[in-house]
Amino acid sequence: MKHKQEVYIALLVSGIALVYVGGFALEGIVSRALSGICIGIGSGLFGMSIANLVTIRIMKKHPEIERKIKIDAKDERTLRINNMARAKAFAITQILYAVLVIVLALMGENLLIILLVWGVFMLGWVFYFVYFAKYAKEM
Amino acid sequence: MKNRIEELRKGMGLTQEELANWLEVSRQTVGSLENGRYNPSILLAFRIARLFETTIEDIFIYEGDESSET
Repeated sequence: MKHKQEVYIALLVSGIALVYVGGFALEGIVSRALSGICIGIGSGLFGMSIANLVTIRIMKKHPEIERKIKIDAKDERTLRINNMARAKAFAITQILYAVLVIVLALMGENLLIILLVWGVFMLGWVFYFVYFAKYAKEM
Repeated sequence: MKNRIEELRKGMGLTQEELANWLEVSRQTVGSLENGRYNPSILLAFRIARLFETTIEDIFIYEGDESSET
């Protein structure tokens, strides 16, 4: 817990630093896009760190809440539901990608865009077969 | 798969919340187990059997092939 808190404090400081660098220090030196990226990443780090630090503080004050959160995170029924939902979402997403490729082709869209969407569709299946083989070896 | 979890839990005078705390699972999981909507992993089944000081076969009643995914 202490280690986690230190990590989030470091991320919080990095977030503030990135926002400062992006918003003020780099003004006029680099492009507005790079400056925007720094501010975006910095804000994200700042928000995430604050949220996690508040959560850690609440859990320190209420150990029963911490225990409940830990149990819920490891709960086998929740994990199984999560895995089933992800599997279903993957199957649906792959169908949507296939439909999107056909729709883009019928619309006469740029071939590069169609190939890009098709590539993402195929990448999904590549990951599927890679992890299927990995888990098949392990089990 | 039917089971005797509710009967055994009530016999020990435990609430679903208390049993969930003992087993380190959520209260919803205990509810689903008791209703027969969810079949536990073999590890959880052993933990349940140990808690009630009995065997898995004494708690879970196998009724042949079941098409349920859980």
